Amino acid sequence: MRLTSAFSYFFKILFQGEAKALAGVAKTQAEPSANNEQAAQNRPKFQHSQLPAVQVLNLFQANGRLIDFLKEDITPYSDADIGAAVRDIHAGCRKVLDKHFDVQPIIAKNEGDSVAVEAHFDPSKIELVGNLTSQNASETGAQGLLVHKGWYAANTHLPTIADGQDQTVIAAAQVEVKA
Amino acid sequence: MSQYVVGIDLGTSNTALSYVENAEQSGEQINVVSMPIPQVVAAGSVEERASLPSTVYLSSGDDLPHGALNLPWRSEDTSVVGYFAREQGAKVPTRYIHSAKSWFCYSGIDPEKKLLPPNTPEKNIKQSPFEIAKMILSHLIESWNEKIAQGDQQKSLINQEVTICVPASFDARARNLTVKAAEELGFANLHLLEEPQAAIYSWIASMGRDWRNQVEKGDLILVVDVGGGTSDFSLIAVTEEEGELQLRRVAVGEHILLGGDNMDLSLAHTVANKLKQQGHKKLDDWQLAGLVQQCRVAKEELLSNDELTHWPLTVLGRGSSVIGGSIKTDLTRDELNQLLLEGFFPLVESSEVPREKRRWGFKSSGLPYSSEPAITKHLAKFLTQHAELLEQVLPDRAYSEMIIPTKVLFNGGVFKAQALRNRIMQQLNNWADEQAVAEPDALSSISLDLAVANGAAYLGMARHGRGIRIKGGSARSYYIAIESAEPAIPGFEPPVQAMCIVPYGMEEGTTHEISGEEIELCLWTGQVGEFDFLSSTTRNHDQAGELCEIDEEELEFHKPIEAEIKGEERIAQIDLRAHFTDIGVLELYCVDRETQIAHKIEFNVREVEDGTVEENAEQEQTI
Repeated sequence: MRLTSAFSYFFKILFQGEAKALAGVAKTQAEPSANNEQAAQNRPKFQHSQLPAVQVLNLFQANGRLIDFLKEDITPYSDADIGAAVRDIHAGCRKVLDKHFDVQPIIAKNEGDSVAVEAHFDPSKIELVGNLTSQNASETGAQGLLVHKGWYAANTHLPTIADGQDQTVIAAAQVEVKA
Repeated sequence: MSQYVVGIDLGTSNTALSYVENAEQSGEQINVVSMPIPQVVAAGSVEERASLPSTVYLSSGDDLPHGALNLPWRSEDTSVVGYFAREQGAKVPTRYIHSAKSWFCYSGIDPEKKLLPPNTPEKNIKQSPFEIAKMILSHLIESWNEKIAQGDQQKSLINQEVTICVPASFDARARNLTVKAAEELGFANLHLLEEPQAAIYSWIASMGRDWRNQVEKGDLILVVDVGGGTSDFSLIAVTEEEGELQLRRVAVGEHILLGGDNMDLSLAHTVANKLKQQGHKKLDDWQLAGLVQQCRVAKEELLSNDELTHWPLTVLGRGSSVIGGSIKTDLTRDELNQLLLEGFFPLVESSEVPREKRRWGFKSSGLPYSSEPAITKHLAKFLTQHAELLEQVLPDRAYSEMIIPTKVLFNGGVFKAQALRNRIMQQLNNWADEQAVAEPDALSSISLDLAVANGAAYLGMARHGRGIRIKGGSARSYYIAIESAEPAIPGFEPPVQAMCIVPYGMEEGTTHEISGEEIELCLWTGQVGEFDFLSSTTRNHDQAGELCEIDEEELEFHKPIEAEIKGEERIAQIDLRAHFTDIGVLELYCVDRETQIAHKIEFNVREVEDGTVEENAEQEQTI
């Protein structure tokens, strides 16, 4: 008898995935209780850079050596040498884009496709080029070929930084100490 | 029953945690959830990752910007666990600790001695492997309390039912030490589980109802678990009791320090050598570390795509000149095959066993990494070594020189590569043909990285009758060395025998009383008595109290164990008691026959700091 019930429970275990359960975790998270206020005050503060533009350079440098590359005189090198190095730089910088900006196309269609631009479009997101007539495209919308699909940062979340971090630093100088 | 049932994979390279929430289940559904672990990933930045690298970086407090190592829940300036520790460790190897767990099962070393990092010139920063294990566990406790308990004492990790996974090859001392680390941190409800068994539980949980159709009575499942730092083999038999399929772990392998990290490292060294031969400057440590990462990627790409013939590698210059200092090369498929398939997974005869000697001497500066990289040879040894044992455990099976399993389950990140799984299967098929038996089938494994933690959480539920449990008992038999009572002959050591104190298969929660009367076992009171301690993974027939000859092929020597009976000086006649606890650790006692008081025998004998071991080690190094 016990065996049967054990197995009937058992089978129910099996059909549940991990990902599904993760959703359940969030809802169990309660507000921190009052007796933790003391602890909450002792929690270290995590701060965001006051110079986020420099921090972005720092991220591209740390992950993809982009600043080194841009500052380097590349005239003496062959295309093949540059190409080989760029693979690494590309991969590293790409990670930064995906992780911290979630870069997405504004019009998710193939370039060259015919697209309809709706009336009252946002000119900061869609730029009309070519043979514009005096007609007000904002009122009527427009039809055209997609030249560039555009990019936008769907979600910008820059990492926090240590409070002792000099915020103007893009890459720290490195000194190797020999034994 | 606690609110959560938790499984912890305290891996050599990576640590992971999974759990089941009891209240959520209500008999309807049981979800095993993998908890992402918050950790420092860059100076001043904390992120959650699926697993926590089992690494520690010791900071001097001023080598990083202030606040760089802070965790959301507390300020920290001297040590960091996880991803950032690994990153920082590549730059500053003398303050970096990894693979601490491997020292637990190293008979030459006391894991409670401060010896890591091994090569640091700063003696005062050294930590013991035991302390490192505690630091990693502490990080899990804090992460859990931050994310889940949130100040609720009842929900804190140490108050939950926790299963910690250990390699099947961990001996009694290493197991006890793992439990001791957890208990010192306050874990109150603890169990140990062997990692390959956890992989089986995870497989069962992922298979659903179907698992019973995938195996049948008489099947023998080989678990091949190749993690970042260690390789672990186990055999699980499928039996039938009262019409229901049962699983029983029948054999485990030796502790082999060989894993995926070795493969990436050897690829990188091969490439570095190639560059040197082409006249490039020798790569420095930092460049080599970068090359190791690239080789890992190259390995994964080449193994997952048969059409690729090579994968480009670029070692960027170290200074601010990226292209000027960069070195281009390729990892070709031939090189990969040569190194990985022929180096780590060569096809070998069943009679080929690893060509390595056991090393008993003390080495202070490194782990006893396996000197034989061929995993297939270790596997051949494992399957041959246990053939006789299996004949006795499973008399229905036809006996042969080598055990050929009927099913194979893979575990560990290395086996994400189909090519390597295929290689192991090809090897087993060759051996099967050699032995003229049927070729084994591979069981489909999922989530090779998180299977162990998931399986452990699942077992927590199984303990409450909500799933099947693998039977096993002690995978090793344990012995103490006894000098025989013969008159001393000058120039001859008195003959020594081994007395079995824990038989193979001894079940958790059982006790053996061993009479010392016949062999006149006694101990001087008021002095520390030392016993030579041995174990075997292959001798399954010795009964508790039985004497046998010491055959070093079969019996492995461990560090001696110690017992002391305090009080006025006399010779106390003693009996022995072996207790295999529910937690899964071994406790030994010597019982004073006169007073009937039991005195605990210590495995984890502390050495005096800067004691003889260190001296020996240094002597050996200078030779």
